[in-house]
Amino acid sequence: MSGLARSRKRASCWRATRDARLIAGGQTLVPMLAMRLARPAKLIDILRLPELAGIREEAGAVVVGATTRQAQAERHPVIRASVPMLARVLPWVGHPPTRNRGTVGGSIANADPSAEIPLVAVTLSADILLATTDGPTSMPTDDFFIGPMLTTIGQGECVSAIRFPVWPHRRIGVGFFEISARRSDFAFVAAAAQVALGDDGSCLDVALGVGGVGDRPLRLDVSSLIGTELDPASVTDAVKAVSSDLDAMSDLHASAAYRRRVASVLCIRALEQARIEAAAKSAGGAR
Amino acid sequence: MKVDLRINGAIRSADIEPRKTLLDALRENFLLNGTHAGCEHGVCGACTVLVDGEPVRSCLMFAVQADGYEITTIEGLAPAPGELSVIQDAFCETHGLQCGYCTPGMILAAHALLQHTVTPTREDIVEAISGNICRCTGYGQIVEAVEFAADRLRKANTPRPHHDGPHHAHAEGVPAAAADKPVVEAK
Amino acid sequence: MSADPSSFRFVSTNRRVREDRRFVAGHGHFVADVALEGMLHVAILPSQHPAARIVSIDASAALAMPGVHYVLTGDELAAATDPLMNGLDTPKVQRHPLAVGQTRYAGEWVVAVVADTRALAEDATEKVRVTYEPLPFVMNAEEALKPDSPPVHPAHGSNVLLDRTFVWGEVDKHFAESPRHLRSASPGGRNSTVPIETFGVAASWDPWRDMLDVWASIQMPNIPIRSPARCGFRPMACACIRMSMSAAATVSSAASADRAGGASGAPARPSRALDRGPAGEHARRRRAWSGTHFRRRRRLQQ
Repeated sequence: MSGLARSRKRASCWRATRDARLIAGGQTLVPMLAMRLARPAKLIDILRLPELAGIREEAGAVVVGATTRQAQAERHPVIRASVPMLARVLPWVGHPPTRNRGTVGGSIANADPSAEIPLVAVTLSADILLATTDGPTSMPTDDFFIGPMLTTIGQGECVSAIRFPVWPHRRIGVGFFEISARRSDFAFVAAAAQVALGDDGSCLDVALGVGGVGDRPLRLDVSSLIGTELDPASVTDAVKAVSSDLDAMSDLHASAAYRRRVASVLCIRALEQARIEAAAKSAGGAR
Repeated sequence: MKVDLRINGAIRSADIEPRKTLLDALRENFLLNGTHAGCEHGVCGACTVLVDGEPVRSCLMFAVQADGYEITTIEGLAPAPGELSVIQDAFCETHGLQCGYCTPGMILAAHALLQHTVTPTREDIVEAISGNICRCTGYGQIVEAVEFAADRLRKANTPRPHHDGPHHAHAEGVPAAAADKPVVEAK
Repeated sequence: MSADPSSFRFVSTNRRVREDRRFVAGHGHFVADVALEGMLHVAILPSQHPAARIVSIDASAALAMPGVHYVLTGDELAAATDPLMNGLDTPKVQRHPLAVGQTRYAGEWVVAVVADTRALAEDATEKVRVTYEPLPFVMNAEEALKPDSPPVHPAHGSNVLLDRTFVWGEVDKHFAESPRHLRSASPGGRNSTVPIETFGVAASWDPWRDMLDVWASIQMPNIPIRSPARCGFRPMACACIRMSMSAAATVSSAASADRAGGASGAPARPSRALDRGPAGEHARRRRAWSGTHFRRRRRLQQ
């Protein structure tokens, strides 16, 4: 393996060859190289390309550069304020040292079905921004994640940023639960929820997603909860309606039946936790 | 590939194969054997070094990627030959080690924590060393060592260059840390 | 009658462990820290099969790579050494450091490649071509007890290595007297020590002192002393074994001549095969050998 690209231009010529792989944080790729499971002739180091860095606010969205370290995002005031679900799950991603190098874009591009960052992107209906040989493009997560560790990234393309929608409401709460053998292990099942409450406590908006269940993170449609007070009965009914026939996988860690059952429980808990957090925000004041 | 690395405050240069990890380069090219190879795939933390003050896994970085950073290895912590830093001394006081293989990584993780957090909770300490595996001690005396060091650093009014705000989620008491406990259910 | 603890100078007092000082400073001396002049590195090619006959080994491509010094096969090593120590009275069950004739588990070591660096040695193992004929295998202990299960060591006659019943008390009498009986089987899983240092060995043969220096990440000095001795490593009047890990960082011991399997000065000669050919030529140069993680000593010959 030889070669380290540092400029975007050089990187783009190298991207064109079949035998080159991009490396950013390297927390997933380097173990594969160490075990000789991946054998590119060249690695293109994109970690310090300025075009892929930075967190910026747009109207109604926060755009997170692909090479933003997970630890940076965890600490960033804009993320905490405007994409609280991302801030909530990041402590569960790997370990502190892996978050110091691992990138948000890297986790997205890796597309592990049980990974937390893709789950947030799917749950919030984020857009994935790509740099391609034909120029920049963007696509919704539903078009991007197509299977386990599978995305529609083509030859010569890379994730350049993720655009997370920002909810305009004042009283927003998030909930997140994950089951794994140990903290920071891959999740058997994870559920993420975000709710917005009106001043009267009724639900103005809701987003719910599960990871680790199917071959990619899934957004569940519980829009029937809008207008309710997210009382236990309504929440349970809504969750059961969408989770009873989830496409779930069986592996040596957990059976499909277990995953479905636990997903349903975690969704209910995540929604409840989100509701409590939103309710604690003062009505009628600044966010 | 020729590379200049800033290690423990000094510029060190070497001609290093691009596929060589920072871990192997530190040990073989620069003869800094305190950083250890354990699992070599980013799980055990024996290879921990500080890059710009933050713990990273040197087995998951290539040496040729490491230019432009301030790299600190365990050899860079002792204030002078034969003297121990407060954290190193604390590990001796509580016997927070047995075979010593995970110890450099543990100490560097603790050092980084205490640069950010003046009064770490036990949970803060456990989270900070969660990426470092110890096969010998059962961790109890390691946590005690970090608590002891935190106490001594506070009493000595030691300046912490990175303690300037929201660096550490747990110290902030952000809901992210408070709310979510691992949920384990029987199958 | 016990003495007042406060009267003791050392016992029950809060004292520091002396060795901790250098470990917290990163100055431990673990086996991977051993760097001898001229040291070469060994990488192992393991079998991927649960059971297979080794049909052929072609190391020509590996040997052609720059920096690769040697490729050792099980046959060659077995011709020069005895099998490994066996803890049971099962003389027909022979285990070798490198598989001989057949492999018996996925991961069993087949070939050892010696090169200038670890990376080169690992590169070269990928070029060694081993042809296997997969054999029937058994992976469950209870299955293995059945008489028609594939024999793991055919010469031994069965898959039973040890069959013992432990008896405490008057078993038949108590069974007869008790109103209810319960039968329970409790299989024990395999286990292994997994130190973070992992396992490694560095070895250096000094023809002038007639001394084999061994650095090993092991806390049982008996093993590195006795293994090379029993395997007929000669001429070995002395072995100096240094163990890394924990505070017992260096221990030296000498193996007596009779443990080496022959009186010193009149060595046994199972090594003749290595005298000839490239192996012998190679062996005559003094070399130090090292490995980290999964490595083996290379037997050297005068």
